[in-house]
Amino acid sequence: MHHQYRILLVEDTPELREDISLELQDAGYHVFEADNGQAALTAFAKDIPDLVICDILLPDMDGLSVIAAIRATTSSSSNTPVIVVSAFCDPDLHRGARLLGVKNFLVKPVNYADLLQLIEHSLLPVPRQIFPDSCY
Amino acid sequence: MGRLLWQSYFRTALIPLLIVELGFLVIYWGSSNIIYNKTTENMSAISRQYFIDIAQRETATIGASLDTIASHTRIFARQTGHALDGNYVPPSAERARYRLLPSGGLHTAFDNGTTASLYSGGTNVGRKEMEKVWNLTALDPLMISVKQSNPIVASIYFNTFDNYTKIFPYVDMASNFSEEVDATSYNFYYEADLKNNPARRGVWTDAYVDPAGHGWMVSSIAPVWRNEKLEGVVGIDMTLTTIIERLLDLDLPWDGYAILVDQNGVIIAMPPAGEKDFGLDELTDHAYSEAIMENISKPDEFNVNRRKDTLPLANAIRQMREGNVQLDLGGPRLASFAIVPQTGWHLVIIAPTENIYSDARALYSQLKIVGYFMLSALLVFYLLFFALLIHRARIMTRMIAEPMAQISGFIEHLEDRRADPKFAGSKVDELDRLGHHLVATRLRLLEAEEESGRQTKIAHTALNGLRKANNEMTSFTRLMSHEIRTPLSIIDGSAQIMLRKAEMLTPEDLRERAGRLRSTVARMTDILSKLLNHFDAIAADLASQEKPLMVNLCSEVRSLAEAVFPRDRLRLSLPDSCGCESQVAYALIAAMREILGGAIYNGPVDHQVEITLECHSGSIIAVIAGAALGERGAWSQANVSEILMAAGGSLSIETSPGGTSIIILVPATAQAVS
Repeated sequence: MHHQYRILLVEDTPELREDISLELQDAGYHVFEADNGQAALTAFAKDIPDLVICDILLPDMDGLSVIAAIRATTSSSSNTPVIVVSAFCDPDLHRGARLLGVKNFLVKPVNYADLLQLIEHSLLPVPRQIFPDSCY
Repeated sequence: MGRLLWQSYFRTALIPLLIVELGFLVIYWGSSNIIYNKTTENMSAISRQYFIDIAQRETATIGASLDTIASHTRIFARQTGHALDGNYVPPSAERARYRLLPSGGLHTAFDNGTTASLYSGGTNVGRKEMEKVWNLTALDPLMISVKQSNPIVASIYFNTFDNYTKIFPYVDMASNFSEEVDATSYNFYYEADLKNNPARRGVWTDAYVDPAGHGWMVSSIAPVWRNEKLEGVVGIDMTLTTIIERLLDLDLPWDGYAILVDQNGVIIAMPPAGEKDFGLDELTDHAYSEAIMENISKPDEFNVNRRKDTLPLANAIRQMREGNVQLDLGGPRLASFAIVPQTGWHLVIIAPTENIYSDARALYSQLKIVGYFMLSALLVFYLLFFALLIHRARIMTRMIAEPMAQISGFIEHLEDRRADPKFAGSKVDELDRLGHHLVATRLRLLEAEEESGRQTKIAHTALNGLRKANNEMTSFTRLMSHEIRTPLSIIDGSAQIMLRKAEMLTPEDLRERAGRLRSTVARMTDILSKLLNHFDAIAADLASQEKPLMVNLCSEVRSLAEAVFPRDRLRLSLPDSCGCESQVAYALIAAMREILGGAIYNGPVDHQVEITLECHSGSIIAVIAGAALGERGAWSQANVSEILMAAGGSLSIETSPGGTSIIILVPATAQAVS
């Protein structure tokens, strides 16, 4: 068992947030959750995670704005790896995410095994990149 | 243009015309020259033949006179012979006229109207000589008759070998001639002797000046043979005065004149016109009395054989009996000659060549004058014609160039809307039609350009609408994808949990997840139902655009709101006297149904909704306050926006401290939106 990484899960759909959190916890990660953008930024500032899993469509602000706010911080936490998990697969979103330093973008529904494997890779010093093909 | 027209005139009209005219003129000049040359040749031939004819005629006349004299001479010679053979004794009165000369000769002492006689003093006159004298007196009647019947006969005589001379008319021979004269030494004797006249025929002497004062003479002489002895020579002196006068009186054309040349080339007769040509005066009778005594007829200046300017004539005379020759006697002269066969003389008719051809030259001059006149008239005509053509070319230039310039201006500004080119028309039908056709074409082009701009604008608007609709459709599809993927994720996530942790899940956990799955399926069913409603609304919108539906919005909104939303949480602010009507009311009703449905589904259990409807002249505005769109707000907003935009309306959301307000705007009348 590796070091218990802390993962911030930002997801507004309760059922998904609960299931993903369960998978991550079962995989040994420490998960703390947020159901909107503002709550996510507050949690990130309070306890900097090792990785952020972020949805795009949030009730108060979109996920890219949350990521931009994280990248805008002056501390080393601005480089925190982010995995975007969204039901959107708009190419513009992919391009925006890349510009914000996002290395991995998963489109819902997500295979949790793939998600866990991706989390492991993202936590490596040189993570690999995964972006989906164009879709709707 | 003017130059082009001028060149066209020049090539098509002037040059051919000028060539034809010049051709006629050349033909005229050529024919004039031919006529002149032919006329000159004819005149020359005619004049040559005419002069020859005259010469022949005159020589024939002279010859006839000479023949007459020669005939008399032959008769006289025969009668002389007969007289010498006779035994005639004249009457005593006749015999009484004869006297002896102191020198021993014999002569007639006086004139009794008959002959004169002289026996030279060198002859010893005896009986025999006296018998000869008396016998020869028998000839007196003949001699008198010959002389009197022929005016041209100057004298008739007989000279014997022993120097007896008998002559009529009477001449005082003793006084005029030497008693010792030897008649046989004169040409009128020896030219008939045996040596010079072996044929013993009558012959003519050369012309000479008569020593008896009869002027120019020629003698017809004939020997009198008796028993093969030349007894003497008879002769008839013929004066040439008559012949010369006749020649001088000849009326010859072209200022011509006639001269008579003897067989030695000596000019016997010459009129004053000839003296001028030959540069000498005709010798008069008295001037040559001495020359004649020396038996010299005339000096060399009167001999055509010895003059340089008459050598061609002398040569021709030697070679031909008659003919023509050109001489230069202070100018070109035509000399035509014919022979007098009896004497070997030549009658020569001379005329200035210039005079002969004067008529031809006058005709040629007149033709040239006519030619010059024609040429002048031609030049004047062409000057006037050229001036007229230049004038016409300028007029034509104005008639063509000005409309062409206007047409050119038209073409240059054909598509220039700011320019205002004018076309004043043209007298040339083709240009007039072309100009007006261009005017009409320009108007059509401008109209077409305007129409094209309008069509482009419409097409641009339509393209923008199409692009906008496509973007909206893409956004809608993505939203739909998101709305479906989210519940699918819930389902898939639960399934993965259940698969991974099946043994660890309690029945309660399974029921909870089963309920979650059913709730998610219900949500997806709801999404699908709303999706179908959305397409139904679009279809209805398209149908309504074809047939607008006018409804009372106030009652429709009230009915909808009260049917969808609990009345205790609903506040309606509708006009008392609602006159709101719209052809796209369905869009507003559909949008409100979507929004109110979302409010029921997503909103808190106790939250309030207030609906306000405002009717304006061009638009209808509905405000739904407190109707938060919730977690599905994005899809709903896109869905509602799609419906409203299709109807020409719009959707906007305003958030304030007091809450969120959704503002719907639709036009009062239908607007065509692609």
